[in-house]
Amino acid sequence: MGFVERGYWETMLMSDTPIIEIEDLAVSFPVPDAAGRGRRFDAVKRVNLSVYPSQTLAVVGESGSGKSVSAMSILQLIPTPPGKYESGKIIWRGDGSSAEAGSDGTDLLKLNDRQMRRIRGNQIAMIFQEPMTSLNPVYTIGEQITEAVLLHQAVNKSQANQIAIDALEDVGIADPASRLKEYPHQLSGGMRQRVMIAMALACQPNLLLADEPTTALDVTIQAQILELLRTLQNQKQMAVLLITHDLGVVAENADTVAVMYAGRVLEYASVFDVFQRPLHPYTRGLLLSMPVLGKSNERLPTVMDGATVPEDFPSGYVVQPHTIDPNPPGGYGGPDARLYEVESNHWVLCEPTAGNTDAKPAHPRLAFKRDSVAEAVGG
Amino acid sequence: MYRAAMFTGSLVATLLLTVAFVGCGESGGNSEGSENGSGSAADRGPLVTYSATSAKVRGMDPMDIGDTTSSGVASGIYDCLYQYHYLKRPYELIPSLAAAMPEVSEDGLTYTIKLRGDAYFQDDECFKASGGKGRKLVAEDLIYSWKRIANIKNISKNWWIFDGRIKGFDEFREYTKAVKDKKDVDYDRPVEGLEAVDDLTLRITLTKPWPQVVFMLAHLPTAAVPREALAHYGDEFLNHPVGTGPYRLKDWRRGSKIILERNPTYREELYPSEGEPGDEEAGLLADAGKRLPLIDQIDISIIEEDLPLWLKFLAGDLDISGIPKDNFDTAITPSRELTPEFREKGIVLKVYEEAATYWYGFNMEDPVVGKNQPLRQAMNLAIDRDEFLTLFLNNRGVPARGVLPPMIAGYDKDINSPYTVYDPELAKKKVKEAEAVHGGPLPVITLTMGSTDSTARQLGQWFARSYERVGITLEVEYMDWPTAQEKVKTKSAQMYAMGWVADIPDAENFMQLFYGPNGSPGPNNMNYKNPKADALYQKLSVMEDSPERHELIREMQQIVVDDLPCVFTLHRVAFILRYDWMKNYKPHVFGYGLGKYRNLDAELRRQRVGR
Amino acid sequence: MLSYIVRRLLYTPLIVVGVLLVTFLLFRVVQGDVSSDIAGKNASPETIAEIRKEYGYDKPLIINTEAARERGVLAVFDSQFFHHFKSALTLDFGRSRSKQKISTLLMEGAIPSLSLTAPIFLGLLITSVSLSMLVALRRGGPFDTSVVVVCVMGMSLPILATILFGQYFLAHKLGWFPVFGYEPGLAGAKYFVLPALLGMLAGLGGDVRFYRTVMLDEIQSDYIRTARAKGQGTLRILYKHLLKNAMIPIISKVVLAIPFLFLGSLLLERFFGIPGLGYLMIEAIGARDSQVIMALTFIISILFVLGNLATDVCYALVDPRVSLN
Repeated sequence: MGFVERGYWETMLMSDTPIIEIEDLAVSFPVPDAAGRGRRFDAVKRVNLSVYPSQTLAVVGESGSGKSVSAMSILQLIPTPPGKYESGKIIWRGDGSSAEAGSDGTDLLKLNDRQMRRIRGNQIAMIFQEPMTSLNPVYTIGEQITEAVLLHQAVNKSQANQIAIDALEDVGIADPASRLKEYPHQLSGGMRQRVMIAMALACQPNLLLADEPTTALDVTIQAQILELLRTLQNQKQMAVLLITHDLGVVAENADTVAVMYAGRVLEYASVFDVFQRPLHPYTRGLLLSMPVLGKSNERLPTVMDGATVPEDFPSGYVVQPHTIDPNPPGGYGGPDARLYEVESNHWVLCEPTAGNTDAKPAHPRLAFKRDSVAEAVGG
Repeated sequence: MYRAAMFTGSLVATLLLTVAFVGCGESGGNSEGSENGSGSAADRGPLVTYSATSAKVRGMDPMDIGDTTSSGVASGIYDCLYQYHYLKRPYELIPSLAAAMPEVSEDGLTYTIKLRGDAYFQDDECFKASGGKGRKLVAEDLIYSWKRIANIKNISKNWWIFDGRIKGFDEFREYTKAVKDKKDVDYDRPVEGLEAVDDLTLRITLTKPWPQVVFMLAHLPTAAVPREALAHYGDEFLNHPVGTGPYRLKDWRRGSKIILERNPTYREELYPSEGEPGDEEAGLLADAGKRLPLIDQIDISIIEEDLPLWLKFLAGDLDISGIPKDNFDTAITPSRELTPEFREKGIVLKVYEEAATYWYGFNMEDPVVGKNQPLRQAMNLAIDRDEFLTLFLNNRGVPARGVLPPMIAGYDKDINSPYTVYDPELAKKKVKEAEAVHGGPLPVITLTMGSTDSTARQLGQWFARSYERVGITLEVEYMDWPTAQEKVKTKSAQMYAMGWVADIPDAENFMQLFYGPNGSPGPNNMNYKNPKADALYQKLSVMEDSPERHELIREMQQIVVDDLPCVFTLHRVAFILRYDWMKNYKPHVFGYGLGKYRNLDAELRRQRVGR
Repeated sequence: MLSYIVRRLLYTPLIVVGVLLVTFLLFRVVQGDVSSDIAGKNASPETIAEIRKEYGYDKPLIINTEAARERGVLAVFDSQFFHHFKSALTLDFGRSRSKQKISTLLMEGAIPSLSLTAPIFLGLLITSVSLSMLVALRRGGPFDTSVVVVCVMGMSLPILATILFGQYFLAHKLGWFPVFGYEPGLAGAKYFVLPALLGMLAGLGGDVRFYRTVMLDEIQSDYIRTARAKGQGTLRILYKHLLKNAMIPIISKVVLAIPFLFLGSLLLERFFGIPGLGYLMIEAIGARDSQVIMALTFIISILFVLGNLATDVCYALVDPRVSLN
């Protein structure tokens, strides 16, 4: 049942430093208990990820798995309060000063709002899941695109307008000059997402955070948007962090994949490894739960019942009802579980055990890029 | 301000008692001032006195004036034929525009009044013929002014002054009724009883003897207004007063401030040289013989709320003030003296009785209370007037046992009135008698209150409790003043809060309230009727004041307190505070336009408050 | 937009006629003849008759057929209703009980009233909207909580207590402000400071609570997140993105409040000696001066009609999704 044929793949080492590295990120939110007393809950914990220039990292997982929190943390978009960055670093090497190889980069979590604003929308842009609501309904498309341009680039109004027109043209919107004067409600959903992308790309960011950019769209438009993103990414050598719960999208677009569940990265590897050799039982369950054309009369398996936090995973956790050999290095759950490089360039969340003590937990870097002609074929 | 309205409006709700200021009325427009003794006022700038009134001035056309605030202000601008002597007590009239007291014919019907020849209207643009120079006042001016009141098209509230009194005047009013437009009324149409014998001689012929007419000729609505002003200002005359008085209107910011300034063409009038015993010692004769007015400018603020008025007074921004109910204890000791703290500031207290009586009237045509004398006696006996005064008035009053207040000739402090005292035991006995008269248990009595505020409710509860103790059930209904008045006027109120502030220092003013033919909607709103009282009233109302008349008054009052058509409660006592820099202050419960007598020690004020 | 405004203005006369009908019903038909009220105590029947004539109570209510027979067809309009109609349309409301020209009283009173209420209104609007945006930004935090607590306290405090406190302590004891007074023009500005502050204080609680709810609804919107992701600063996000989207409820509230600004603030006016319309109204109600009440009612109604039109136009101005048709 391979989604991806290995033969289509070429691995290549790209720039030797990731443009961004998330290290041990933890973000908490208050969860008032019945008595009203604030208990804090880690929405993400020990998240480690990295993206190289022009690489696409897909973060997959179900709702509430911490995908969006991780991405929004990069831009410090988590409202604090109520949220709180508990620990971790987000090393950014995308700005001019720290772009050289080997640079230590900037810890985005240490920046104040002023410094952060220079990065947001400029070096790192983000597009969101809901094109319907993510645009401000009371301003024109033009006003919204030029807003970012004027913020980050030393241009005047008419230059900014031209940039906006170009950006709209880039995302394939016809007659961009007259679109500029339109309001979001005058556009279709696909158009709006294109506008969002144009807005995000207008300042030529080095990293694009795409938070489920196609979920709200119908399938044809979805394909067009992803195609568009890919093309633009290749043109602009832009790193992309693609958040999705759609494995098909992952298979077609990602270079590397991080599977998240309940705020933890469970498995982190190249797209090939994840689809061909999933090691974590959750990942296996996830892959099994993909509907397969022609097999739709069967009831899809439940991935995981009951547990909401990895601490609650039973030791030696086995996905039910499937009886895949868990083959865990130790167990998958428990409070001390970390990402370990279980196989070469294949990282899995496990408990430290005697068997893997020498495989020290580290911050994973996966310098893979799929061949530009490679097509990952969904099943 | 409790002299709520002059003649016309002398019925006041007892509730008004709770308002504590004599901000107007007495002190109203007329605060004080004077050049200080040293006499170098010229280099110190004009002498200005500051006072406040708690109600807005509505207009300054004497014809329409019915409230004390407007009277207080307008009386500085307008003159009548007569005025009250500032210092003498008992109250006495002296000439103002008139040269002397009237010559009265033998039959008491014809009054011949000589005018002084030196009274001029103040300069005003309405005198076009003389280029704005004020004209000399002549007898015709008074006749014209009174005809304006008679002209029904003017809807003056003050027609009652002349109603039925002057020969041919009612016919003139009749004539105006037929005229289509008020502009077409011919003021030159002769009236038999109003004759300008020459420019300075006025002859009034009455329909029947009416000794109180002289008081009326001292009453502001009868003041002289110039025809030219009406021709010039038309309906706006009420905002452009043109009089003969000591002051003229300098500035009027409606609702906030009125400033009167010295009228430079005011005739020569001098400060009185004699008063009652004690006036000399009180310094009230220091300015004797000086030309009036003594103060250059009167500055009257309109301050409706107690707190800002009190704070302004404490800061020395006002020369004179009443005492708000809430602040009474901070200013006055239990022994009714000024607290030392206030004395140190140079504040002086003056306490005086007002010419007013307050009561809770019964509708004597009501089948329950009207026909049951023991019930009315019980209801008088059940009221603890001292407690009433303590609870609701900071003791600013004295219990009322009869109709007349203390200063009115005929007042009898040892009045034989066994039921206008507090005696709950006797009241209970009387309730038994009342039940016998009624022929069964007494029904609920309803008391109508013309106010809905918290004080009214407390009062109502207090009355209900007082009556409950003696076995009478009282229900209190609260409504706004006009509604309550309407109920009273239509005889549909059973018992109601009422009072009377004297307009003139004459008992007749009170006795008319108990004269049968004056029943609702007339002033006798209790609809009290007793043939003996009526006969006495008919006699005393046309008599010149004399000891024999006082005897008739006493007799009539006795009949009223025997019949008890109301629960008498109290006479008010006013507490006025002023700073010692205000000179020549003497309370006067009838007179307006007293500002011209007041003086000011500006140096002392500067020392005390730096102003 | 223009054609919409013109069209709406064309409807306005109809609404005005409606307002006139209602005020006529209230003050002429329901309340009835107040001549004896006006006449006061002890008035003779002929005085009352004269007042009836003066105020037109002697005329038929709607149409005067009798006069029409006598004086020609046009006299049919010599009725109470058409006189009411005429006086309202010409803004000549006649004279009050105290014989003052009502239009003058209204004009004289409106200026001081507005001088007090307009700054309160604007100050309150700016402060409460700004505060509520900040509070919404920090929702759930200690700043938010303390503001909400203070607001509830402010709302529970009677305005009278606020006034007494301000006048006694701030003005009298501390001498920061004049205790009382009024001057027309700029010279009088100092007298307005304290009452305006107290008025704002009294209104702040309720307003902040209202706007906070509005802002909380909006601040969680996706477009706010988009704006932040763009790198836009907090203040710009609040005043550019959030505020414009929150304008609809704000406009609704604001426009409804504007007609009442003319009525002034009774208590503040009384305590600080501002000769505004608040007192005129209360006095008129107390004296049942129906001419004055009618004039005020009419003017406020017309302001409401215009206000509603303004509301719709403002909606269209701030929100492109609203179309005026």
